Amino acid sequence: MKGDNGQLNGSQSEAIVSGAAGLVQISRRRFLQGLGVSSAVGAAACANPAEQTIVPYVKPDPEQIPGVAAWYSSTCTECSAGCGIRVRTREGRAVKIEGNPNSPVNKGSLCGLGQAALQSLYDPDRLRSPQKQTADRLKQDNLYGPTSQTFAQVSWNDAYIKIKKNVDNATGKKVLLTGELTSAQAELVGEFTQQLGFSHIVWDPTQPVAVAKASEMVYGSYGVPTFSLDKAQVVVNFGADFLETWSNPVGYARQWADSRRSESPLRFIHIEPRLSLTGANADMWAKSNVGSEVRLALFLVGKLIERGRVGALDSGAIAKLTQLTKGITAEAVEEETGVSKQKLLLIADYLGESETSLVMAGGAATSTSDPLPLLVAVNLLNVMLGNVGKTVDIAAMKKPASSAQQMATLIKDMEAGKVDVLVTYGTNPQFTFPSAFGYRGASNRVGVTGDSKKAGLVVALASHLDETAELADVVLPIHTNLEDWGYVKLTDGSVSLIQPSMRPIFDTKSFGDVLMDIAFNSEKPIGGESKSFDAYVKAGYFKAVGTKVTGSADEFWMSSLEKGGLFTSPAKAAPASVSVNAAAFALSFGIESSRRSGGELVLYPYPSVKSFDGRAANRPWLQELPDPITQAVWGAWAEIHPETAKSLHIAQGDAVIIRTDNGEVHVPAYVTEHVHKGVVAVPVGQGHSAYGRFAKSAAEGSGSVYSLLPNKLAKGADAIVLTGTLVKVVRAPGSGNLVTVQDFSSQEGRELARTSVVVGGAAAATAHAHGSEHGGHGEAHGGGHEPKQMYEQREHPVYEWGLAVDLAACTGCSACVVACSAENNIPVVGKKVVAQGREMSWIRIERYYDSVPTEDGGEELKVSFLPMMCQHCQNAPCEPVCPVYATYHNEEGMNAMIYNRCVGTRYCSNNCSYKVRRFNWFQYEWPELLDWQVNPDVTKRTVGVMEKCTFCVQRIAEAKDVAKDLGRMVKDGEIKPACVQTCPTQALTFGNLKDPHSKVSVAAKSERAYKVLDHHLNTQPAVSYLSDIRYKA
Amino acid sequence: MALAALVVRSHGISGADVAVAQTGADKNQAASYPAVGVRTGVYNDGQAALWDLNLTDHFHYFGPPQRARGYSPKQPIAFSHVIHVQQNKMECQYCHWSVSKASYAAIPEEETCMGCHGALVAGKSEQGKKDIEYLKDMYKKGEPIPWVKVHVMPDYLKFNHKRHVKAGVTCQECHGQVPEMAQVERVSSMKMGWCISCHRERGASIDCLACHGHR
Repeated sequence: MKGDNGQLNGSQSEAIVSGAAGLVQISRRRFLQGLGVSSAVGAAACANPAEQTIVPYVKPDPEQIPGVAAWYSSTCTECSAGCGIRVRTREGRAVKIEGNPNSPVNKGSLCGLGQAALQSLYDPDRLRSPQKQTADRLKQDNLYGPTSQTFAQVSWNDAYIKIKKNVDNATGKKVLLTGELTSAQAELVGEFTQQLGFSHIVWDPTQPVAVAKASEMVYGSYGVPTFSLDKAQVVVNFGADFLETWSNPVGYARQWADSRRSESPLRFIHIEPRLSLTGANADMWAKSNVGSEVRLALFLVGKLIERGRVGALDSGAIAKLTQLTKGITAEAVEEETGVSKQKLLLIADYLGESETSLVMAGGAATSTSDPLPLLVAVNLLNVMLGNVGKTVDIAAMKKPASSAQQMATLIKDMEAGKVDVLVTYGTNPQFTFPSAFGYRGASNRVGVTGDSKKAGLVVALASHLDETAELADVVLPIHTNLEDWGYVKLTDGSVSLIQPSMRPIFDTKSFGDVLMDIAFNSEKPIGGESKSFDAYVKAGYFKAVGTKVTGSADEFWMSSLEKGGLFTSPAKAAPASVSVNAAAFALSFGIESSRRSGGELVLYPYPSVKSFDGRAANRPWLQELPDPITQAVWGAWAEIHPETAKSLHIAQGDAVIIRTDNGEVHVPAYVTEHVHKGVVAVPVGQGHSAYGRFAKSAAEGSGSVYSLLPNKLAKGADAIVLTGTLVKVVRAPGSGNLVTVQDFSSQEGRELARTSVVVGGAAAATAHAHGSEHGGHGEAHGGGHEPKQMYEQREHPVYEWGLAVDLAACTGCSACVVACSAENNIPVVGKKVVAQGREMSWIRIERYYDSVPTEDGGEELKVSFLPMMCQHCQNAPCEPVCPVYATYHNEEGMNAMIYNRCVGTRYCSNNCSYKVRRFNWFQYEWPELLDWQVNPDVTKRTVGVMEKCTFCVQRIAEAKDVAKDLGRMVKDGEIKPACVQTCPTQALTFGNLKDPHSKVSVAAKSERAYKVLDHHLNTQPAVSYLSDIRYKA
Repeated sequence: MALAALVVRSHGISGADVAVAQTGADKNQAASYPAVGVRTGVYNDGQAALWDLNLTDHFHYFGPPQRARGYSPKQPIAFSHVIHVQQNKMECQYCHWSVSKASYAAIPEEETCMGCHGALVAGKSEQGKKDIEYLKDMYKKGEPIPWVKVHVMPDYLKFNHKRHVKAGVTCQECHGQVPEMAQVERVSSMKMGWCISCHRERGASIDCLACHGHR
């Protein structure tokens, strides 16, 4: 650690000191030593490990009381949903990100990716200073570009001089290539491109551009509509993973769950070739052939015409549709899609009979080579069902700017030497744009015509040295979102502010400031009156809110910063008139003719909550997070159907090679029934060759899925073709190093995760315990007779803390797992240690495959997710076996774990019925910089010590502290453990069981409530589960 | 010493009452502490049990000397509480202002020192002058003074100053007669038995989780 610090230059050391400004009482001695060394004082004083320095602030920070957290409201920019966040800081450091309850987008919740933004801020491999490429890129082979070893540090000034020279002298094109920008950045970029003659191209593979295009064709305007799932009775979804990564996952998850636990839950039908997390939450999951979804949608159109449900369509359109749907019978569609006739007819009935419904398409289903027909058919269905203006809001549309077409043209221009200056920011085309297009080679040819070495310049503005930045001539380090200013204009008219939650750690600058500097240097200043980007943001914010300013400008600004922006209550979706473009009917609604030949499979890449499009691969929390469906950790895998696997002689965990003409990917096989036989499904976003140590080590040299994709774009839509590439899958020698944390999928009749089935379409009042249909348990064990107790029963004089988990709302998204890791300093142990069963997470999402009966006597797949954490049992099996009284039951109903008493016998873990206790087999340490995230309120455990869920006892202590100051009891809802706080669907409730009116008491007394294993073991857990609700399909 | 005068032993006293009691204390009362040695007023004479006697402390049988009574490290500045508190009658909370607001008592910011030493007080003794120059120099450079921590606590426990102050525990019950210390010394063992016996005596929580399991 000292060595690491020694390598930092002077200015960086200062940055560290100022960032740390004055820690008063410091929990981690090693960290303090590092601080001492870097500030060049007190190094000698730390010679004795027991001797500690205590460092005061130089000047008091009016916003900080030492030991008390300060919160800063901001906006998450990990995806483009625009969730509001609140960043908890301690002594000037961001330590946790939570959702901002004021934000209408996420209402206080946050997904795992948003929370893991902290690990991007504290990535030990972050760019710390400006760098320039020392290798001559003109000499580089097109395939093997320069690597990070060839960078040398430069000063900002020298870098600016070089950029100015090239910008001023450029004769060819000047291009600014970015990801989706915040509104403030986009406005500044508009000025920048105009002043300096740049053209602006946006590339973000996660943007649903095809959906936006289809909206234009049917609804009349380009954009992604806002959906209201909570207002629909039936939701039919073609592949849009809205509970994971698609569009606005946190917001849609909340809507979905609010409806699912209401009196009249929505009926959810999901159609896709591979079981996704979203599909796993459906009442009916239909496994379809890849690319055949359009036939199903068309079948539904035909059925609706038969019923006369044509909504606002005019007779001409109806005639055209009647023509199109002629001959599409259930039998034919069953043949084409692989979805059974019964299911098809049921879906048609559900939709036809519902008053309000919603049909969606997106995700991998619309990343095919011809996505428009499906999307147009889906939009037409919404028009026919009268959903536009009810569940589909086309007034509030998000307009994605990403363009694959422009990207492809740019690459051609670069290759031809037509581009002289390329500036990249916030996008990683070398990784996320199919490598068949040849970005790497083209990047090396910027400013080159023929053999003449005219000086071109590639500038990467980046926070991390990713694959794209590695190709640049100059790399300028940029603030992460947590150090920057900005605002995001939401579709409902709200403006969500971004403010720094801590001082920059390194010698980095804001993207906006760099643009302003470049423009200023070239004597074409931008930003109007504003001299810096923060001033520009402030001015822009006041412009955006217009007349909504209340009080004095300063007061309004401060209160906006505190709240997180100006949030208006969303206007109700107005019924909108729809003009269907005639071109919509001219599309070919057939299935692609290219049938796969023997041995070839269809590639089905999908974005995962673990890696997104690749931007999340450098976060160890997300790498070690078990995928909710496969339960795999670290890196990618390939999901293959057992029959296909058998024919290819592939077994679970074997190394396989997925090959196309463009490249190959080496991943382990994950054999599962829940994927189509003709499909190999692989999560995108893994297989990095750069982007920091975690992304690279997770990849294990596997190669990226994007390298398999063809050199072509989607028909009609401005997107790349992700789904549908034909690939050869062969077994490679040896094991593929597949590590999963749960190898089984059956509950073995233990009724861990229970399901109540809502019969038919009737409301939830008729809920039955699923178990009772199979021979009577549940109720019989819950109420009935009191079992004899061997141990004395506990008294809880004041508080009895308890948790309730509503399985009807839990989607398995795993945001709680990330929240727990962040809050409780849970170590990331790596793939090898997880393989030994020594993962450290305090909460896990167990996944079970069951079935629920259908009305015709058949069975429908039912996937259960069961969040499992310490159950804080009254009769805890762990407690009596501890020889040193390190774990005991306290007066507040908690199963306490006292680390300093623990001697590591592990008896408690042996005796735990829930396998929730984790043992520190090694002394786990965060690498330098990631340790800045460590929560100072939670003890860091040492080797040889047992640990487990504490109900976030530090938060309980804090709430009690505040309540005591005010001379009252803790109120219901004041304590929110990290998992409860972040849950996008509010599936978790925490509170005092002694208070009969607390939310958790009410939940625990619900007729759906049960306790896991209690009826077998009489453990009397403090955690209640509420059984899942399913429709009989 | 407002706090010295304030010996409130009632429990469940509301925060507001304590605040009133504190501000209402007469400043002149502050000097009236019994000046008969640093351990005066320390709870249980600073020791937890038999194995916590001066003798065992002296030979450091239990733990490092930094965690034993009598630990009095040399500080980068020879700051004397005798001059500041005893002679100039400053209140504890003038400098350690966060003690009633947070779990941390906090070493005062350099700016607090500079409030007096910036222009007005230059020091009398040779050492004093030197130290004040050092302080000014550090302040100018924007560097914190690396004070050596006297009351070193292990990582696995939570000590909340605010709760103790608000419950009426006086500073010197744990820290001793700091106003008499030219160089601050640890006068209490601060071992668990010592904490527990006071908690027992006053009816405070003796649940392990009250202090352990979090920080």
